[in-house]
Amino acid sequence: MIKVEGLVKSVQDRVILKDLNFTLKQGEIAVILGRSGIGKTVFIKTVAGLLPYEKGIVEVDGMRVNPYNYTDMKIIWSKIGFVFQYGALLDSLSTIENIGFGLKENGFKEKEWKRIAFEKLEAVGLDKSVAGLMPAQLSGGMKKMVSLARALALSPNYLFYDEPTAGLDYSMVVRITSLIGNINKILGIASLIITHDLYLAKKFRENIYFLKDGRLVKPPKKVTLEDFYDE
Amino acid sequence: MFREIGKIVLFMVRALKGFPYVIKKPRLILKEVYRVGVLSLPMVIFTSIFVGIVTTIQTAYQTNAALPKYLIGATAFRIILIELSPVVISLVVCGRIASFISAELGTMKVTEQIDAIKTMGLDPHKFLAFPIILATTISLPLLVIISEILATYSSMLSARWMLGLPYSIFIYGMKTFFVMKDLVGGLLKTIFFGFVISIIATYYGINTGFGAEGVGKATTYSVVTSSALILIFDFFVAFGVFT
Ligand SMILES: Nc1ncnc2c1ncn2[C@@H]1O[C@H](COP(=O)(O)OP(=O)(O)O)[C@@H](O)[C@H]1O
Ligand SMILES: [Mg+2]
Repeated sequence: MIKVEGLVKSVQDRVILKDLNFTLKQGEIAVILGRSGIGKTVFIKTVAGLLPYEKGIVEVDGMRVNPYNYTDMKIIWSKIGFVFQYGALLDSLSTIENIGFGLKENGFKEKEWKRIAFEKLEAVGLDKSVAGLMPAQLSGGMKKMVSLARALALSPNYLFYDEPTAGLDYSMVVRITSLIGNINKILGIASLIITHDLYLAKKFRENIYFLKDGRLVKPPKKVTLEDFYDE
Repeated sequence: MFREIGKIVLFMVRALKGFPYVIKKPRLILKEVYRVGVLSLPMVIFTSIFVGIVTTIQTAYQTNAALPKYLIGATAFRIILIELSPVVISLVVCGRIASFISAELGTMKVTEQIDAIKTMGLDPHKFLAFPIILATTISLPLLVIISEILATYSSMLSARWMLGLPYSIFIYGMKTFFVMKDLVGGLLKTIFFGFVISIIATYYGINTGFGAEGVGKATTYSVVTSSALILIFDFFVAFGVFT
């Protein structure tokens, strides 16, 4: 379980998150909606232990998230997969090397990490022919897919998605959205999605929050998301 | 400022923990030695040749006509070993390495590649920073040795062609007044300079702030800080060892 209580976080003396509470149980999916620049990325990175925070509690399976404690973070990061907004693939490695990178560096033999990497490449619906391409040769959508495959390769318990559909064409949005749903349902990986995309959010209607004024609020049942978003 | 020093020390301790990991990957070290050391060679050669020529002109100008000519060889050689090659080459190499390393790591930071490495359970300090630190600490003294040889030759040649000083007299001066401490002291400090340059460059790179502006700032801080540290430490060495 991921537990956030009374989280306060500022960026350059500007308070971005104030007294924020949030929980995500094993196997659940949660979507956090919010306007651009409101602090969604700051929130998800703080929970993932990639940014420090001033106050409050952030815990993953009962362990305190503290970016300065590398020993603990290694254990926490072994449970978290992060799908970055622009993929964050390592420039100097090919697609397949990117997917297998974590396995390789954690001691897997070449045959083994390649087998798993190809399996994940296929799982996210990418063709084998992209395996040898460098990140610069991939489209934005493909980079996100590879980023997802890379996260899956390390068999996480939690998956964090930063704007998984932003900047993609409609068919790709539909593809990624259904992929996210399937990964959650079939593999049972708890997922935290942050987005400003209403299409994506509506697919996971049961567990939506809005990030507003540094806090998370649940939209009232009666109001449509569009109306709430416009406010 | 003291907080910054503390952070840099912590960073250093963490990066040095990468030793057992990196030592098993000689290819990783060789790759960095190539980028840091071998690719700096053209600049080092160019700089050393001019250092040699200017040293000859200056020592000839400073040593009065009444003094014996072999003093030109003696003085030029010693000043090259103690100060000129170690400090000039460190500064020149620092400008190159500190900027490209901070820019490269900074770009990895703002494009979230460093975050990605962390969430894969790998430590960017030992994985990215340590190979660079080791490679720079090894390469800089080697570059300085190359520079000392080149600068001395260039000094001797220019003494011959510009002042008509025979090689034998120049070499006589070099040999007679050679002090081991000059050579060893000059080289030991460059090991230290290499270590300092690479710690600062990787520290500012990995801790780059927000966006393209962040990368620009990191690069500037990195070059300015490491150049300043070279000069400050050189002063302490001069004061402590050579007075
Ligand atoms: N490292 C940083 N330095 C300065 N400002 C930042 C930094 N990271 C984010 N910000 C600012 O914090 C605010 C929240 O950013 P972010 O979380 O990226 O928004 P979004 O909701 O679009 O993901 C923005 O105004 C952004 O400009
Ligand atoms: Mg964002």
